[in-house]
Amino acid sequence: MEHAGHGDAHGHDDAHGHDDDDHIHPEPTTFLSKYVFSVDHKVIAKQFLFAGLFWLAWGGVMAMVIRWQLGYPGRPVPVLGEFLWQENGGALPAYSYSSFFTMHGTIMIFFAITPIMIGAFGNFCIPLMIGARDMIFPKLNMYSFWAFFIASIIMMTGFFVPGGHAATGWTAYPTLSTTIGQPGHGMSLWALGIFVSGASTIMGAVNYITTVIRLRAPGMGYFKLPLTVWGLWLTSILNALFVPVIGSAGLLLLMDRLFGTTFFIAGSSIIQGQGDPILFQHLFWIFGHPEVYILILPAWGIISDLLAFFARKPAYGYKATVFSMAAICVLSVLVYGHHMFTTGMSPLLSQGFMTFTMLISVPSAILFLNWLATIWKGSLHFTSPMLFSLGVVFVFGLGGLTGMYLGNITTDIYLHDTYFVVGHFHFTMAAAVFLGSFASIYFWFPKMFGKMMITSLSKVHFWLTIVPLTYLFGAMHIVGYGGMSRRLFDLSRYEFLWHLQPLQTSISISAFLLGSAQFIFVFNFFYSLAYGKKAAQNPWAVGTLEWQIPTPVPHYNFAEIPLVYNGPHEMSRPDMTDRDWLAQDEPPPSTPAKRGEPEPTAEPVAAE
Amino acid sequence: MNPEERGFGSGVPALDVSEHGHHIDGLTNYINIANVIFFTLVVAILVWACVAYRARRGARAQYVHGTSKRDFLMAAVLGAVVFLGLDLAIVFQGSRALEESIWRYPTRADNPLQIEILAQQWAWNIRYPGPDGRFNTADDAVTLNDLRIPVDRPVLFNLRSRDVIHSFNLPNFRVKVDAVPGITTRGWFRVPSNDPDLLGMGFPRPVRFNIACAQMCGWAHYAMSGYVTVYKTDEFERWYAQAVIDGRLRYTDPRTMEDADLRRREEEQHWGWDFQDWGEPRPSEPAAQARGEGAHGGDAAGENERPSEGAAAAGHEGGE
Repeated sequence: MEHAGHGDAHGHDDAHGHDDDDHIHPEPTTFLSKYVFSVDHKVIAKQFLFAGLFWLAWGGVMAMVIRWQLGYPGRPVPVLGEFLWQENGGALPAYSYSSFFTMHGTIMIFFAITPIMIGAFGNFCIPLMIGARDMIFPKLNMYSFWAFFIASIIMMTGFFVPGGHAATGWTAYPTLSTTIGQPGHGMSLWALGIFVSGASTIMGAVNYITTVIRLRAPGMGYFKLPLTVWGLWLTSILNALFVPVIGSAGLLLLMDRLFGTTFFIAGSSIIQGQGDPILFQHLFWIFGHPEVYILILPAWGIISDLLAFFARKPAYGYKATVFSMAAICVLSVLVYGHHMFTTGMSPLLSQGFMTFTMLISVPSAILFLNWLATIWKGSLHFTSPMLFSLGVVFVFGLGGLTGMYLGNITTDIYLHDTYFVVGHFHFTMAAAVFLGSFASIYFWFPKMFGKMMITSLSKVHFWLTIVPLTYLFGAMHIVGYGGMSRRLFDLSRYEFLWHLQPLQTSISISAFLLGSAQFIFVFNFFYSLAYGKKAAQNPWAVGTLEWQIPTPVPHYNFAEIPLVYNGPHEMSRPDMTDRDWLAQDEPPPSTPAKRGEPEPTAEPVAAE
Repeated sequence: MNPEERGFGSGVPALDVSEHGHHIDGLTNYINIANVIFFTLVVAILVWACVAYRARRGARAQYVHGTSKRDFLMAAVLGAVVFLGLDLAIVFQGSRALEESIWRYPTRADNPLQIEILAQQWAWNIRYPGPDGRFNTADDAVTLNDLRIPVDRPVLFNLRSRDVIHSFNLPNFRVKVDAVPGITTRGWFRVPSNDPDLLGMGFPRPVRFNIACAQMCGWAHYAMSGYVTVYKTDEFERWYAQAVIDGRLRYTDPRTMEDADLRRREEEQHWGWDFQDWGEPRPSEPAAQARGEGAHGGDAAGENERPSEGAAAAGHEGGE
């Protein structure tokens, strides 16, 4: 982040940047080296995408089972019930319920969003958008995927061990997550899986950070990077700083479980130990809060680009967007204590965390201003990526505003650990991020796979997603405001919640609609993959570098490393009449620049 | 329970019968209003832009980068409105509520009802000190998942956990405090007898509410429920006196004393600790001295329950 301030200075003398990757290796020929143990960032991106989509489906099915129990408590689960819980008459038992919501959260965060947003689109977009032939450490990139693969196997194994998988909630607070509360092997596999997937993430993050610093094409200053790259880059910095913390917390937890240490086990009436369970919460949330931004920053970056592309306008306040995202990264570290307001934390510390938390609303407001001003007076093309991007603005607006209640100690007392929190973070982390993922998939699918997806189906997918999704997570806020705790298997123990059961059922119906709508996407994705119309080189008519090379992208991306003249969204320039976009590596018409002079004088972004 | 009892205070939000709760609900409403304004604004602009600026033949988007002085001013004004109208206003109101009410713990002069709560998988053990004002003595009254309180008197509680982290949640009293193994946490609330919601629920007849656990504490987390019953003062005193007698009977029952197994099981119930109220010691009260560190035990972390003198004082806390 320290580069943000004087980024342009670096950008100017960037010729050294492509020395790192000047030579082109021969194309791999065997099946294994081409598709399995590939070092090509485009192949690794696809591997991450398919792995992430698999886990997304898995986590999604778990969500449906959870919603079934909440909507129709104690009734046999359709289809799955007969196979999984025969002894319970097909109904979900309370223990499995705990395991389901734990693994739903874990899978969605570490095994679905992370690989799709960061693994797949980070890998695919960063080298192509900055004009590089590959990541700077291609082998590390391959290790990153295979570490993720091993982590996936470890996580999957947990479902099949006696005693079931981890059942502590994805936050895994000790002492519940130690052998006191979780004697089975599932929890140990969980901690190990988090550790290994963390190693994968760190390898990716180091690679992305270095690639953006070292491999930008000549002329590609920091403030000419597409905002997508900015989002991914800032995410990688947060990842490199904070994933090690959750990794070590997971390792300490594992030692408490397996080797008899007591890092997180404190003495109480039936337990011995000199440790502190609150220590884990600090470790968890100093990672956990930045994690929220780790997940959403790529989506912010991507939709900032997409809104500009499909409004056919330059992104409004490009630098303000960048600085707001960077400011949020810094603040994200200083606010994690708001997850711990009820733990009896020092009042002074609580108030500090509260103040910083509230401050996040300022850069967030600037982001919203920039998004809305970008589409203002544009020429809006409602393509499927655009629809999903507008959807992100809408649901993130809802999610951001509901955060105001939770960042404040006073109002948090009532809302802490209720369904209000569940609704809130599903709007920000789930809804916004997955709408962002869909926008990305619809947008880059043609470049990734060389085929077009079916437009009409993708628009139907959008509307059938956004409507139930808004109702579903919106109504969760109402349930939580009514006082329902999170992670309740059944609310019938609480008389004051009885009146909320019909609302719960309606939320579940809405969730099933949302889940069914995803089949449209699955069909569209695989059908287009097999039979889709062949994609043109630049179907969206935009100017970033990845669309200036042939489709499908050739091995080693750029036959010649491009020379960058312009910002990423030079759309609707008045001095151009034949088309409304200007490629980043194309000299602007009014100032014909010679190759070797990467700074055209009348270039508006540079003039800022 | 008593068929005369009413209650549960359902609603969105759950009804509030506490003294400090209006601070929480008031600030929530302030944020509600601010959020409705902001959200309406965002959606209005979004929808308007989508309708007015949809792509049309021949129309071209405006070529601006949003870097003019006017744009900068707009961002600055927005930032200032958000900072002053939302952030500072909320932090200020929130802190005032905390200092004036929520964190303003009752002093001894307020004669709070002291209660110790021990959370375990999956129940709330509740202990009253009895007439001697000291915990872990023969006149303690102990209940399970059944908290009974009088109106108009502050209720000050200590919270510990036997096993995992729990969170003592009284939605209708706007109280939520984590019970963390190894440390003692505390909280307080007061139910004014003239609270309109309370009267609406049938007070002065006893009114019942739910105790919930807010922190995931194992697979039966959902079943860790209990009841709070609010009594008018004289009815509470009557129940309390009887509960003390019942407790003393169990302590001194000769059969219990003779049978070693029964006695061990009985003593396991003596899980209380010296009450910690974090208040400044008040020399005018001799009891403060007698209680040892109870009055100024600021650092309770890791402390084990200390056996106090008395008939059945063995603090049966395994380990340390």
